[in-house]
Amino acid sequence: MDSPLASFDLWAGLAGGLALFLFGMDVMTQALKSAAGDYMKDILGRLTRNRFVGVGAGAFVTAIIQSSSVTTVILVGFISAGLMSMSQSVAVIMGANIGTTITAQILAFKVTKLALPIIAMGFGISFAARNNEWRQGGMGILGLGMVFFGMAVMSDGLSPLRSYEPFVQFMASMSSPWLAVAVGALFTAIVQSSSATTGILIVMASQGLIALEPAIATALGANVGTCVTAGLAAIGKPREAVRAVVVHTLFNVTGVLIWILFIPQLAQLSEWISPAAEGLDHIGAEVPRQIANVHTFFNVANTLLLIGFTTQIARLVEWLIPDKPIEPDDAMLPRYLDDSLLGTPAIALEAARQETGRLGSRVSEMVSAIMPAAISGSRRQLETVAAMDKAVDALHIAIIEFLGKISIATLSSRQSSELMQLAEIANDLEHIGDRVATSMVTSAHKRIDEDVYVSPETAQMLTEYHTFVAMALDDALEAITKQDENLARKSAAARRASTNCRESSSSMASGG
Amino acid sequence: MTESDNNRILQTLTSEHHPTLVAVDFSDDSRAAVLWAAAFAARAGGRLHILHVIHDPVAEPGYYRAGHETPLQPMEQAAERMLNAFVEELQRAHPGLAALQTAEKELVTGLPPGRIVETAGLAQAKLIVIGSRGMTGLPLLLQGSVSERVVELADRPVVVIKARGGRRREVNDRKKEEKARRKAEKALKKNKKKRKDTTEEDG
Repeated sequence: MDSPLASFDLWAGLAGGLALFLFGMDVMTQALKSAAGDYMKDILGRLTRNRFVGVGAGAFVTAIIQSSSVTTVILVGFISAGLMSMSQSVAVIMGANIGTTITAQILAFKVTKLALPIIAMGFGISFAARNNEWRQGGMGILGLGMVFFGMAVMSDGLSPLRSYEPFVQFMASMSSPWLAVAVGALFTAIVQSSSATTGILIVMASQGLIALEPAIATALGANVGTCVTAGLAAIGKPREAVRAVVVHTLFNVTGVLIWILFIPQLAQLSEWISPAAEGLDHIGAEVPRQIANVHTFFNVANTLLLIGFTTQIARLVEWLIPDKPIEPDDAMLPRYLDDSLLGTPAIALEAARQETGRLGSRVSEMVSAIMPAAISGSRRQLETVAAMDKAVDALHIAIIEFLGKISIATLSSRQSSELMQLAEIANDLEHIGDRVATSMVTSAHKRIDEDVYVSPETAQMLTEYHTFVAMALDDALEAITKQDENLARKSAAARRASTNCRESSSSMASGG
Repeated sequence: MTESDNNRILQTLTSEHHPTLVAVDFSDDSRAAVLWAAAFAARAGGRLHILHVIHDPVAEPGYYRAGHETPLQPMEQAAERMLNAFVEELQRAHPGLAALQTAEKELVTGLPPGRIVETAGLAQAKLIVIGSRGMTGLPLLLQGSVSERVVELADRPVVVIKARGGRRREVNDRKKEEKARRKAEKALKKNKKKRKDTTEEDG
């Protein structure tokens, strides 16, 4: 017989199973992000000053989307967009490590038999669903089924290795915890999923291919390898976001350095807290749960150990990563639009809303500056106002392009209408900017060309009308960024007042 | 320091072209620092430049989110509102301080000590004024002092101002406010319950 390592079934099972596992994880995470995006935004946005609440929020969100890397990447996006601080993210990152242990706990059940029914159920729900939330929920279940099916395929592929002597010897050499940590870290970094590493460990353990202690060391390594995904997301991002990733790495590496010295004790503890199994194959039945339990234990313990030191960790990171020199604020460049937010449409829409608010501020500045310049300003003042439109145009293009990118994702009907509204608002604001920069500036140039003198009465009338218009615009902008209906009503009232003012002005002008 | 350095500093201090930069964190000490800086600017000439560095304190995460109704608002917007409210309050309370009424406001994101010194350099400030919370012992060791760090880093004169009573008074005031708020909330709940009971009895 050929050696099992040369066997087609082994490699096909391992590679195909892993691919199914990772694809299932991706399908599940995307679907859950889309279905639960609004809730995630609320949970992460309402973080209080309390770091324990932060840990809870991080654990909850990660448990739902089943990936600590995704949580950390979302945090990097939040911080880059200035919506959250590094100090706030520390506790959430700690919580994310706890949330990710739920995956290993689920995988440690004998889930492989349930894979196909779950796939069928997920597909059924997704196929029959009338609304997007149910469709995404169905896709999430389908993804979970694929993860389980991937594990079943890997498990079948690996079974010949049980009797293959060189492999058994190689696994025995993994008794060095440092080597096992390195293998776990490297594998997790390559596949960009710590759950895949713990999933494979559970598969191997259920086949009796790996003992508890090397499995614990490999799972510890996965905690280090998972930092790579967030590290890649932070490339080219602001310093505050880079600091959050360094906090994540420091926290996970410190945790591993603490526990690597206590692996035998961890193994004993997990044997003690996990249920014992009967029969010949009791090791294969017990070890997966022991791995999952020890994974949960050290992640919870790390958080409890280090949560008291969040201030010191953050200060150390601030010292390690100093600020870049101040760069002048480039009005032409968007500040809140960050492509890493695109994965979560609810949050990307929020960023687009804030950028639209910024576009509105630029337009409001133009509207405020044009009236004095139009009535009595010089050509230079008029050119300055006209030049402000360049930044407005650049921001408008950036917002519309970003909204275009969001629209590619799967959106709920509410998110789609929000996207359309934001596009309309951005277009309206750009039109106001154009109207100021072209029509009003041209009229004002004409005033200078023809040497027209604006009487104080006319100037007062125009200024009064302009004040109403500017007020209506400012209230509308505040209503947009704060999503406040009362402010929207106030803006509508100001608009009516401006219409009344214009009508009374024109009747006075025609009467006079 | 050479004689020419001394002359340069003296010239800058009395020059109309160099502003007085005051860094604020909205504390009582910052209020005292702004008033001192405004009075100094009035005598020495030049504008008053009020700076706030947006930095969520590591010991108090969510500082810019506290009591905020809308989730995920940019910190910069919250900081702008806080700085405007802080300066307007001082302007109302001290209408006679001309430098304060015409003060320029600036917001910068980053680590406070470095950013204060850097902004002072870019604005060519004659000196930096900063409030000191007067922290000592363990809190100082754990959190560090921004004013001390500014003094270490600065390449121009720094004036450190302490409000009367310093941090102790601020902490006591905060405790008193918190106690009064809790008492009011308790009374409100009691009243609501009473009203509910009375309505049920009537029903």
